[in-house]
Amino acid sequence: MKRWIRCAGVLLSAGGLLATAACGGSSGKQSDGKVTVTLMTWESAATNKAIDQALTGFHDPNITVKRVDTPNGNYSDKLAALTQAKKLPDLFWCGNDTEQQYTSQGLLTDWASRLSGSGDFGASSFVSSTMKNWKTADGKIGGVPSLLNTYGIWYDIDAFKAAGITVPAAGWTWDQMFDAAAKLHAKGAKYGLVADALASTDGPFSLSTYALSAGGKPFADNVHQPTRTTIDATYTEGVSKVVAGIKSGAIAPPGYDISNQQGLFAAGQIPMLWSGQWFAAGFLTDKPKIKYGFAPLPQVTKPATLYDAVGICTPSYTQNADATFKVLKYLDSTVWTKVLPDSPVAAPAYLSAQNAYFGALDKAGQTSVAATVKAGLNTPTTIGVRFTTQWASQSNDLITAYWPDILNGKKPLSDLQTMTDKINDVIKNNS
Amino acid sequence: MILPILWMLTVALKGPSAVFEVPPKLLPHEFHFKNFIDGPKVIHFPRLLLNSLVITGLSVIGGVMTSMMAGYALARLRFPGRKVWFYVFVGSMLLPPVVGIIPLFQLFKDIGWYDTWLPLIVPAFLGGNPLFIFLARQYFLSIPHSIDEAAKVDGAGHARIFFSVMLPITKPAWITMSILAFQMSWNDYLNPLIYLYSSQKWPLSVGMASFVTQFAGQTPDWNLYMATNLLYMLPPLIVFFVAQRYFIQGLSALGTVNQR
Repeated sequence: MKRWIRCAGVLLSAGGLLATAACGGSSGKQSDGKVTVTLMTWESAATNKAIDQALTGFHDPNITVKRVDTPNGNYSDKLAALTQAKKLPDLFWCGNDTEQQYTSQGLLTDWASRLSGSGDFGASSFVSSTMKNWKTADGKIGGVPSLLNTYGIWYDIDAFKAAGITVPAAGWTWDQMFDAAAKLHAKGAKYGLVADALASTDGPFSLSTYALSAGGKPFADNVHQPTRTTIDATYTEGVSKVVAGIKSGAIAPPGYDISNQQGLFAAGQIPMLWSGQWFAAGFLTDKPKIKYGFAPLPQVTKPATLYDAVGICTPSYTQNADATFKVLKYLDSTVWTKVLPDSPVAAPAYLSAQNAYFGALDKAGQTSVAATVKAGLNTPTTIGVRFTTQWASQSNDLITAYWPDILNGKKPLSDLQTMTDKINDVIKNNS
Repeated sequence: MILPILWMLTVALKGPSAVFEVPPKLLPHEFHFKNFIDGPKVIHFPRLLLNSLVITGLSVIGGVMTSMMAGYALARLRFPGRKVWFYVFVGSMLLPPVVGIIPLFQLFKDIGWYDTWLPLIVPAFLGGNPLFIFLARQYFLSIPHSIDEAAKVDGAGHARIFFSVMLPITKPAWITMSILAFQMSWNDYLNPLIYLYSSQKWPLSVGMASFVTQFAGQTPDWNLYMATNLLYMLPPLIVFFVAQRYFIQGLSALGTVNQR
């Protein structure tokens, strides 16, 4: 027993010494005037390695860039803890929602003055819709957009040929999409169309593209500072068509497990899939068995699409804003041109960096992806994919309570109005 | 239980594209044993393994030792408020652990414990697991008081009775607790995620999450993930199989409590 207690004592002392070891980690100015700029991404180990490699090209004798590791899973939890501890790195990957919320709380450095003007890194050097979306109501810009997602329809060319349907192309209509889904289903596909973007809590926003394309009103007048949500006749018409598609089995219902949808599409099990351009990067390595293409979202009379961007934010307490901005500029303008050729995941928001992305797609023979992404970026009518407000979870709860049941036909279409009335109450209470 | 582990093993031996085959095949066409070397390399496995062993080892020692002491006191000592303390411990089991995350985080940050292992270890030494205190108390209640009385007659104090008499005869109880504490600490993901900033201090649970990504365009290397996961699972499995006899004894003994 004594030996056991002695061993435990030794272990405790050794562990205690290890446990109390001081931490490094934080960035800042060193005694010799040199600056370390810290950076945190949500990328995979392979992409981080490519970013590290690209950052070796950044030369400034007074600035060292240090990437801080974080697990990809639960990035938002990690961000919340770092925010609370005031330990956010100088540059960290952020979504539009995080940027809007943190900026409004004064947690981020406002880059608006540095991005003003028409210099080589001014607001005009970015895709115009992104800068508009990254600006808060009071004109602050707490982060710089980096990559843009474009949504469209992935289609299995052989399945379309077998069903005798023309493959989707720019300008195709919602009715053509519903018709194709029905025919593909009749030809043996479990579902002709899998569109989680329509069935999930983002559904009301995604379906806004139908209303906007038909000249109607979107679900929300603004995803950043909404004043109200609306359901008009064109919107209800779009929902009724989705409901009919789900009822007939042509469209996958809410609750359909999408965790392996990319693999199922690549294996020819899903003939038509509403998703983003990012599959292209995976398809370069995973090589699908099928011939496939990527078409823009369907339209009623004019094109309308979804807006979704991610970016890089800086906390308000960054110790050297000049150095941080220099690294930020290098990341957005140069790093992507070195990383995207090997993994063309999304188009850069910085216009001059886009050639590297489109060049990689062309080189890989992904011409339909390149064309659809270009079409998406040039579509003037857009709607954000979801609310970016702090109270978004409250509206999501309401959407969860109504939207799936409406799509499944368990609740009448008239409940769309009930849902929007309740969301409008949430907006009113939080405004 | 066997099928998921078999499935993990088969994925761990597959190539990156074979993982996504539809319909899935149980046996790989080619065996990629190299995954068991490449996977651990991605997350600096040996360093994180050492971190996990230190954090888990200290948590187990602290949690089990203090729970046994508290359980002994609640079951064998007569002092005012004994029942109140017991109800406080048992009542705290009803609180979801997530409730304490924000205040505890704020506390540990304010006392300078952020980015150290202390928030993961010290609470265990302060009786951080009420379930173990409850289990220990129940086990001590099943031991006849005549044993303490005999020891007292021989001149033993409480410390002597606890260490020399009670610990040997409650072996199944504290080994059961040790297994449970090992499993809890080994698999704890949220606490190290929020308290540890430096990746050199991560335990394996956090390192494992580096394989999985929730973001667009990034297909996780499932084969490397599963290969590393099998290695990650080994220590708890070994601990369980080595001590399973006591584990069963410990659990079954709780059903024969002799309340006094």
